[in-house]
Amino acid sequence: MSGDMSGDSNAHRVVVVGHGMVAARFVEELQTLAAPGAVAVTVLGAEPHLPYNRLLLSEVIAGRANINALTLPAASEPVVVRADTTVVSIDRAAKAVTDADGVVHDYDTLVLATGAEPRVPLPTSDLRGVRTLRTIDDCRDLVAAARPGRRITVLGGGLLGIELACGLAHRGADVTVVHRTPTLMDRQLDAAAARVLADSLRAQGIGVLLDVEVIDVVGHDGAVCGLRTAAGAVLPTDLVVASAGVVPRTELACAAGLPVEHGIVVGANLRSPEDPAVAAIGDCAQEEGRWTGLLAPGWEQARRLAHELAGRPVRASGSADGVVTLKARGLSVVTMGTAGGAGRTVTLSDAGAGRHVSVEVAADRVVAATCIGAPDLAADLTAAFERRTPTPKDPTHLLFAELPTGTGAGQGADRTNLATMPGNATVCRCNGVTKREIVGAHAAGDRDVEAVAARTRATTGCGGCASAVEGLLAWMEEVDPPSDTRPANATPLSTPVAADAHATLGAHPSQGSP
Amino acid sequence: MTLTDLDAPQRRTSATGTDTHCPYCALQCAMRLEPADDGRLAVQPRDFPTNQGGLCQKGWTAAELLAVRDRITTPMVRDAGGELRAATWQEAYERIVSAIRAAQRADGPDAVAVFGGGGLTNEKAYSLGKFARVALGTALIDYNGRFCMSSAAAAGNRAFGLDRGLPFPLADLGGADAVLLVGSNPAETMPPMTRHLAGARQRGGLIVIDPRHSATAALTDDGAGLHLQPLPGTDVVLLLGLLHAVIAASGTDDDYLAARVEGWDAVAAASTCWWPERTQQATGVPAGQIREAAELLVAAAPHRGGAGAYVISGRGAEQHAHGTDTVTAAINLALALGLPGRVGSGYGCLTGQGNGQGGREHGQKCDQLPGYRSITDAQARAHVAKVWGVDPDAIPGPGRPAVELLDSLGRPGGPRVLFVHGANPAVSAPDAGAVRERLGSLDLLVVADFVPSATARLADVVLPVPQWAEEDGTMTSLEGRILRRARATDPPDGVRDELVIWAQLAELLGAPVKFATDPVEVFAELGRASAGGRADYAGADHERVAREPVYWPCPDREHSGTPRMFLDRFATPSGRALAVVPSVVGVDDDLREGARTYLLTGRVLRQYQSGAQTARVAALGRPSEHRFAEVHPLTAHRIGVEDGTPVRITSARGSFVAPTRVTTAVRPDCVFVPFHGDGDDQFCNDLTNPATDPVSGMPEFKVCAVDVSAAEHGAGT
Repeated sequence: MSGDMSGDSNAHRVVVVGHGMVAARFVEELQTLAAPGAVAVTVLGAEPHLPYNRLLLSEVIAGRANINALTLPAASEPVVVRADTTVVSIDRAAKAVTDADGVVHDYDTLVLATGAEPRVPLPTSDLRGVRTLRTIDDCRDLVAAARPGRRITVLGGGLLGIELACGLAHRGADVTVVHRTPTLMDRQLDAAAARVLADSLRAQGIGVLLDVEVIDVVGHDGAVCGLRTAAGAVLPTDLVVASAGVVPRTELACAAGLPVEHGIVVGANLRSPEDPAVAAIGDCAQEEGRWTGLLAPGWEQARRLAHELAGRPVRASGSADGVVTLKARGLSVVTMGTAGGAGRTVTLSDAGAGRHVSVEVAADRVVAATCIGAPDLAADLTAAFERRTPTPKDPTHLLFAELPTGTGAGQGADRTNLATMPGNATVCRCNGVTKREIVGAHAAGDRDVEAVAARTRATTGCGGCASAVEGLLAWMEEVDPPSDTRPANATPLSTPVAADAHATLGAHPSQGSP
Repeated sequence: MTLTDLDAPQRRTSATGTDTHCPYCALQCAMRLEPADDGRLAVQPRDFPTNQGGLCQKGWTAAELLAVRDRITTPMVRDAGGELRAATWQEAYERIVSAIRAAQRADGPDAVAVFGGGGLTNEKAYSLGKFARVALGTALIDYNGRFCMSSAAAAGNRAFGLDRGLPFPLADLGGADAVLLVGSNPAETMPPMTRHLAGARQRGGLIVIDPRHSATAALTDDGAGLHLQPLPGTDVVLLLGLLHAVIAASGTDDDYLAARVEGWDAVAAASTCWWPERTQQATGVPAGQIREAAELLVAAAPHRGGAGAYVISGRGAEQHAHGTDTVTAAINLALALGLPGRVGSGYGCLTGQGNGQGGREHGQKCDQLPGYRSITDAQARAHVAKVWGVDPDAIPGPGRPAVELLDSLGRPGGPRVLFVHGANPAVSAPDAGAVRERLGSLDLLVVADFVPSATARLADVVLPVPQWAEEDGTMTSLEGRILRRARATDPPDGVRDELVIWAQLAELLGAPVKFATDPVEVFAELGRASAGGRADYAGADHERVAREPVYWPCPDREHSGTPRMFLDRFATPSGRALAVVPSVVGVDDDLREGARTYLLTGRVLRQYQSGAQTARVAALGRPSEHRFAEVHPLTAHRIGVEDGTPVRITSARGSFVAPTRVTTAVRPDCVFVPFHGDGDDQFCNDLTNPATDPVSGMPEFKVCAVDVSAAEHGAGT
């Protein structure tokens, strides 16, 4: 039985197994880059849905994203997309794959983008109430299960586990994170940072149990009711969400005799060393011994492979890699780079405020940083890290980007103490009118904004300084009450609070006339 | 050489005062010019919906332009010794005509080119396009609006089928709950405009996207709204991120999208990859601020019962090699919220130059004929040819957009003669140093101006022309309203109006038709040429526009004009707006070793564009006062400069020295420099990048990589 007949007979046939985020990006890029008719692409996806943004599932749990809004750009003609199609075998000799319906798809290049599946670090059991979050269906189930007051245990305190815990807690569930080491997010955080994070979670009402190894589930009436720890304790729970990392899906590759270690082994060209007709990208691939399980490197692989297949020069993007940003309400965790090099590290740890910032600088660049509880600073540090901008002379300044800033760029005057602002401070930006000139206008007899405007043009531009002019006039009335006997253009007799202003009055009694 | 006789102009001012508009930006503040005691004219603001009786310092002092000391009042011709010297009009014309003939004999009609300006009246913009194509027979005309409105125009045309800067009256902004300004700084560039932001500020809904905490961004302080301060060149991503946040929050107006928009699903899907945290990583804007901004916009949207919202773009977003994509992303955000084509909501761009709107509608663009018609459309050509009285085949095809045109000057196969009208590309073009070199390589550079601008000083022939208050005509403001520019005084003796100059040159060149010189007559002709086009002026005339508001399209006398567009349908063939997926492309000249800081460019309140006019108004300060570099305190500390000490900024193209202004208004990874420069000896545009947008031809003025260091002692100051 033959597969798709689409495309030019001379076209290079590319069959993609898997239709997750990396596969979708690969197809999108290839479609943009390849000459018309040069490639014939078939995508075989096991899920029944259009490709979607898996990273946002935790946002759906948190109630911050609409589940219908996760759809990724769809491949269009002439790409053939077959959803709900599971590949069961690869015949490398025949260069063909067979799907569960027995349909055979011939390829010139096979791209394995089979992704990964959640690791469940528990003995297999038939008990209801043990879940994971990997697919949109998992997500729907979890949203339905996360009723207020329900006891939910998130097993695994990595990035996704914490996002999940926060999201479920937001839905009113009684959430506890159980983590097997003493350090939350231990792939990204050191002990000090992780302690601040754990405290922040607890402050949000989320239970955090560290250094606890769960060895089994405890059931009642066919449903889970607790978790048994290695120490022999039972942690009561109504629902368990395993979030203990993922395992690359490599069965197809194994069965086809391709080298597999943690993931499907590929070289720098993303091809299997055993069979250059087979490539692997994304979570299922182990490129030159490295496996990250992160999206950005997967997208980068997709980009490179698409360029290569389209006959375009393949260049490394040069973008700094390794920024990890947690998505959760009321909690900001961003890490970047690999700490512990030869650089100089500055740290601010303020557990009381849920804040911990550590920045490593080498050769006037940010080479690594951890930023907890300082969201605006995290954005700045990320920019500095990714753009490799020069660091301040004293790297300590990197910790204080959130200092209040008085820019002087604003309307200014109405926010400043009118009495103490200097005489040369601009009150009306549009017409360059200073406090000195307005004080002068008052001295010359102007008693309302219209009169000051007629004399100095203040307030006649954007009008934003009208309240400041009013305020200055009121202040002058107070410190220099009008006298019926005094001529209108005389200088005030009493001394205004600001010496500067007074000095001004003497010097320029009627400055500012148009 | 014989010419039709013309009355010698005499300087005369109206005894009672003249209602007109400001000479500068597209806000076109209404003013009255009244005789003052010293015999000169003085400015008084007039109440008008756009400026509400307000004027900025530029407007108040505009009458000083009429008395500038170095006013050109006689033609000038470069002599054998290389000096510009006074000449007669006949001498100037002879020089021009012989150079044109020689160049065109050798290299064909396109050996002559024209560079126009967005400050010319509608009548002049129209006549210049006609002069180029009919009298010179060249395809090569483009204008400085390419540096101004082209990206917004291209994106607007693509999405809505028509580009009118604001397709609604500016005063409508006042009722909105939220206004998003994308890369716009009206508090400096058109201060009275910010009066219309007061409502949104009161309701906490002013959102400003700008890499700098500009005067406009400062209007969001203290709870008036939000300032999003992205890395330069990342606006597309930020707008995609905002769109994502709107979609994630179920904030889209789905009925509107279904009824009025095409192509939406692909745009929505494109935003799926830009969740707030990833957007933060790419733009430097904190994810929380992105969500907050999206919430403000959604709450303001009409489908959520809000009072309305506006998305407004400016040059900060548009002057990029992918400015069209950025505007497209802004339009997509507006479409998501159901804003365009609804009373009280919308998308628009803030036009920059005085007649930036009208200047782009009547034939100065290399690919357009009057009425915003395409020069490649056979029907449009036939219509315009009939009005002009020429054979449609005699109208040349499309020319080259500005940057390409300027780069081709004097090169093999490129133009050898150039006319410049209402522009100062020696200062205002990107990589201006290279442009000055190109101008210098021409056989003949003809510049019409009223002051010796930097470009005029390079000319072989300078033609003295009237300025704003000395001419009659119309301007089309940023809201598409046609305004009367009224003559308040006669030009000095020796000055000739461009309409006259083109008519006389056309006659000398043996043009097949005569050119009208009376602005009223020219406007009537423009009306006929634009009739049936997208920008239809047929129903307007000088008297009517002075009497009542007339917004184009206004196809006939009975038509009341169109203050608000798209209420029933968009101007696309289907009547629906077209949502287009924007490309995400980085900065063309991005940070690298040796150039690790971004250069931002922009304007200051007291100067206008190249500064050729405002630099000559004493009250606005000396040109050198407007040369400065805003540097973040951490950068200043790092490179060892203090407030006031000179800093050197060097790009791949040029170098610039300016006194440091230490301010936290700029990001530490950026420096900001105003681009005005006429009258000064250093031009910031010598540094900017001439890489252009593939759709609009807009150069990347707003960002390039530079090195910033303390300048050697005394350099350039």
